[in-house]
Amino acid sequence: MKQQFRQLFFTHIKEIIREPAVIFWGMAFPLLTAWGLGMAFGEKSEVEKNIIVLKPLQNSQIIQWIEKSDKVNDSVYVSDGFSLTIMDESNAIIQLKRGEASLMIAPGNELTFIYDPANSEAETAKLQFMETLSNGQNKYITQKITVPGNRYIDFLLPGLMGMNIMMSTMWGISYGMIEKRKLKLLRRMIATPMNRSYFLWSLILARFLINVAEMLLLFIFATLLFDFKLQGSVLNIALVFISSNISFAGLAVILSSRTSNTEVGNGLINAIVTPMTVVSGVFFSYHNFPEFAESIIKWLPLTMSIDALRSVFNEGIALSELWLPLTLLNLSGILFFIVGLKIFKWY
Amino acid sequence: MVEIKGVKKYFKNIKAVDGVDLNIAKGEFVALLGPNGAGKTTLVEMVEGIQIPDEGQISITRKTWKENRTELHKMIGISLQETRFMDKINVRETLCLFASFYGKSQTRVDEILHLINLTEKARERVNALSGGQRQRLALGIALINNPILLLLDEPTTGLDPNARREIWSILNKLKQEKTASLILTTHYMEEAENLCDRIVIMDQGKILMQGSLNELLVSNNLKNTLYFNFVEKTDSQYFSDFKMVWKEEAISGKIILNEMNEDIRRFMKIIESKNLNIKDMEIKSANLDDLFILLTGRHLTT
Repeated sequence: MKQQFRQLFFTHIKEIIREPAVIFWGMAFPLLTAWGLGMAFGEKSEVEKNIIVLKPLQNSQIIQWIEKSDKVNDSVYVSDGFSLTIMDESNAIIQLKRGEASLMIAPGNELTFIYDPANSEAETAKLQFMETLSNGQNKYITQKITVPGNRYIDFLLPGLMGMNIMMSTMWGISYGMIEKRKLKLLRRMIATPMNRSYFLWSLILARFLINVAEMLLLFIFATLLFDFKLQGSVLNIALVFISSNISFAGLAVILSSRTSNTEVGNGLINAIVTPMTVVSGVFFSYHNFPEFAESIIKWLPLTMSIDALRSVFNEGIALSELWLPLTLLNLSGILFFIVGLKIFKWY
Repeated sequence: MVEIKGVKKYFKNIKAVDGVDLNIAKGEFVALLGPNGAGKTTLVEMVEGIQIPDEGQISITRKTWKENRTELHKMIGISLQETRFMDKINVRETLCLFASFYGKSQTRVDEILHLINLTEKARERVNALSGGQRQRLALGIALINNPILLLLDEPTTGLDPNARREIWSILNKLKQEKTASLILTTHYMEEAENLCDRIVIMDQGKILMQGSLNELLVSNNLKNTLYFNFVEKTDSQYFSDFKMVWKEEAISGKIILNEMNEDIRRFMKIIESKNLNIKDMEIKSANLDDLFILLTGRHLTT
């Protein structure tokens, strides 16, 4: 790497990390959002793990367990860190959807657990509950269910990651560039033999590495706190991540290619970022929008990015199913970058 | 070194630079002096290669911007009007960044820090520097590549006298080395007088006069200026025959004394005939502002 590029790159990095507000909005804020929303919508961190026993109550092992437990009311019994609630199937489904419980026990003589095997909390709860059964038997049947929508946090985290890549890239690159143009620093820099493309590439690379750090931090945080897991391959998630960065970097370059007015820049970035944040399904599914709107929304860069992140994180989707969004994200990014560079105003 | 031939630059209907010819020799320090809007900055920007002339030619060491952009960038050092550097980056890092554009080493950065007297501030972030220190940093950046042509656009505007003198002392050191030529724009006469071998006075896109300070004053037979102050308001029409400007309309001002004895006699005659009361008056040596008034009837600095 040439001395010039290295100097430019580290200058950009220092500019980013020496701004405490950037650290807060870029790193702490997404974590706080994830934590807040995750706590609000995710499974409650109750002391007692909730297990639903479907009516009618027939299984002798469960009846024994209930007999030695504390009765809260006619249908709720607590013991050994578990709370068993007896209810009918229709109520149970609602509870599952709401994330209030993740494990059910079916009626009948044989002990049958019903849960989503992808849900590790249900798996753990099942194993722990087996140990509390007095007769020491560990025969049981597993009945798989697919809980519609999985957990909210699984839905939310890739959304936050996509939004974070967009925000960080768009604000970081655009604002940094507009500000430098306004201060006449770009003009000063190109009055030297500086390689102009090095300037842009080092800025994009510096932002990319900051995004990697932010994304890893968010992922580790989510893993520790919410048991968030990557179902797909690391390669696939890396490809989606890189493509999203390219797409937003191109958008940032084209948005900041002309103006030297930070207010105008502010407005331009907001005009792109805000609608996407609202419609692209960061917090809630965009499938609730009318069909015609949905058909547009699904091609927005943020939507493609988040959809791809979700499908790799939660469904472990194969690369062969990702080629369309990845191609579009990269193509749009490169196209915006080329056009942006063509009309770029250094002073 | 620098050859400027018949250069014109128009912005819409404004003739920013309107036919300028100027040659600058190796090691020569030249000041472009003129009021705001005289075309100094536009001319310098064309020499810098940032603006392209609509007509005419500019060459530096016989090379033009069109064919030798990278080469010329390596040869010149510039300091723009009010450039700001990155706030979060410290003095040394800023110099290292610019040094890297020219492939210069850390040793050169240390030399520059010493030259601009910022060695002790090397680890300070740019936003913690005073106005004078920032301008010194800008000058240091302009010098980092050992330029053979230095272009400084109002390097001391807005600085206090001490800070200004520090910049002058750095530039005077450079002048003694005789390795670089300098084009400096300013609207401070003292700056032009102090630093430059030749002063080029510009107004409305044209060169009005050029030469050393002495040459300029002598060639216009300009030696002295009469400063006066009346007790009460008079009629400015009485003095309409003089080359003069009012400081305060019809009360105080100065008269350029082209023919000292003759001018003073005429002045006294008016005072007598109109029965005016003088509060005080004084004759001083003429300066560039007086010359500019003589040529245009306006002040050099507004």
